[in-house]
Amino acid sequence: MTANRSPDSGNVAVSDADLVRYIDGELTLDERHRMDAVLKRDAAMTDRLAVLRRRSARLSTLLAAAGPTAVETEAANPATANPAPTPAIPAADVASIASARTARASRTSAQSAGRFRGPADRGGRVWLRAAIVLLTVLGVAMAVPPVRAWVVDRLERITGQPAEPPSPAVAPAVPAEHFGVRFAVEGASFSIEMQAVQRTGRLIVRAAAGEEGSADVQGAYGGESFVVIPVRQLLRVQNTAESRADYVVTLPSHVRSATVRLADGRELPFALGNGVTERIVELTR
Amino acid sequence: MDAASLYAEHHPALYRYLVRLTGDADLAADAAQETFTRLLEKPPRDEHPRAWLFTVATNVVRKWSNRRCRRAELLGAHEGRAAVSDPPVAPDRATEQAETRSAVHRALDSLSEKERTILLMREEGFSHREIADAVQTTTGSVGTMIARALDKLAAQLPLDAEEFL
Repeated sequence: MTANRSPDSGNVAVSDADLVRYIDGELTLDERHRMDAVLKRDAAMTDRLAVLRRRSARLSTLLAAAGPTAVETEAANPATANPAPTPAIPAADVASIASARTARASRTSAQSAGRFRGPADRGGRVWLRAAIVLLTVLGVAMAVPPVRAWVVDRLERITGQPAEPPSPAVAPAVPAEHFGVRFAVEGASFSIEMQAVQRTGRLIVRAAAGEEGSADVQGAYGGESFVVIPVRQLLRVQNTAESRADYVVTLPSHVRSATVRLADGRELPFALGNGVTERIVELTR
Repeated sequence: MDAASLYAEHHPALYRYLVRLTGDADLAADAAQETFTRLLEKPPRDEHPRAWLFTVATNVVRKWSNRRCRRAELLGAHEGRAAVSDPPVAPDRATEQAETRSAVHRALDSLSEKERTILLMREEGFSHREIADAVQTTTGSVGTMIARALDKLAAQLPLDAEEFL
């Protein structure tokens, strides 16, 4: 357990870090398969994995119970339920932040030097602005195809290697056993993370009796790659922006609230229970 | 990049994270505000600004947390106090929540700053790579510190108890 070896090393012993990576869905597909094989052979490691998983889940539950979350705020006010989260601190106008900053800066100037000061306040403003202007010009220039092509060509000549195309968002080739996964859910809240806002499809979240949840990919998805990984109180769906599929996630009825986080950063909290048995999130770009 | 929509989308989670990280609703509100102010002043070029916001907020808190005395004072003064904009809760639930909050904050406070940050960013669903970038460490260290932090917390919270909640 203490040996610091990765599951792709072929050795039996793996570290706590590897187990945490396994729980968090951080291993590659090959590493997961190797870890699965190791866990089948090593009871002590399986026990340690169960301990880490249980502690993680219970910590999530305690943190949720210890204080309000955006989800709970909305769940407590079903009449105002809205896909967009309600800020814990109302701020109708973001511009007020800037004015508040000014007021706060004068308030704190008498208290202590430096607390609210950023680099720009320490005399680097001129250089900072120059750098911003330069980067902006470069950014705009790179958006023009002929300029970008010229820069890429120059880079290839300098390095002697073709420029690398952008890497895909997720690994290709996903075996079918990653569909229809079952998982235990502790606590009253659950998160679902979609790694891409895909071309077409929906996420359907349903409540059902029992202690276990399940996740499945439905509909047409030929040619695309999907991985559905339960990660403690989180379900991570690795897909691509070109994906076309519906995902059905069934959560146990004791889950009262869920959050769907989309790849573009949007977080959509909603309440379950109290007669609400199904929620549908459009994943279309 | 629309700052207003970024604020609406990310402020709740950022504020929640900061309350947990600092144990202080006021400090969390200040840090969240400072973070969004920096967003207005120097918008990130990153297509996914969530990690940027959390990293900046973590750095803001880290800088301020040098003032440990102030934080300790605030913790003492506000222990058990509900966070800003809490919905009203029933008295028995409020008491239970205050006890849980106090226990969780005490336990989190026993962790090192880096362990606490890593654990709470993980709780918000960040990948190990994003966490490692935020705290300037390796992804391997992230997993190790998560396991170590959970071991420490298990000594103070009922993470291994037969009966839980």
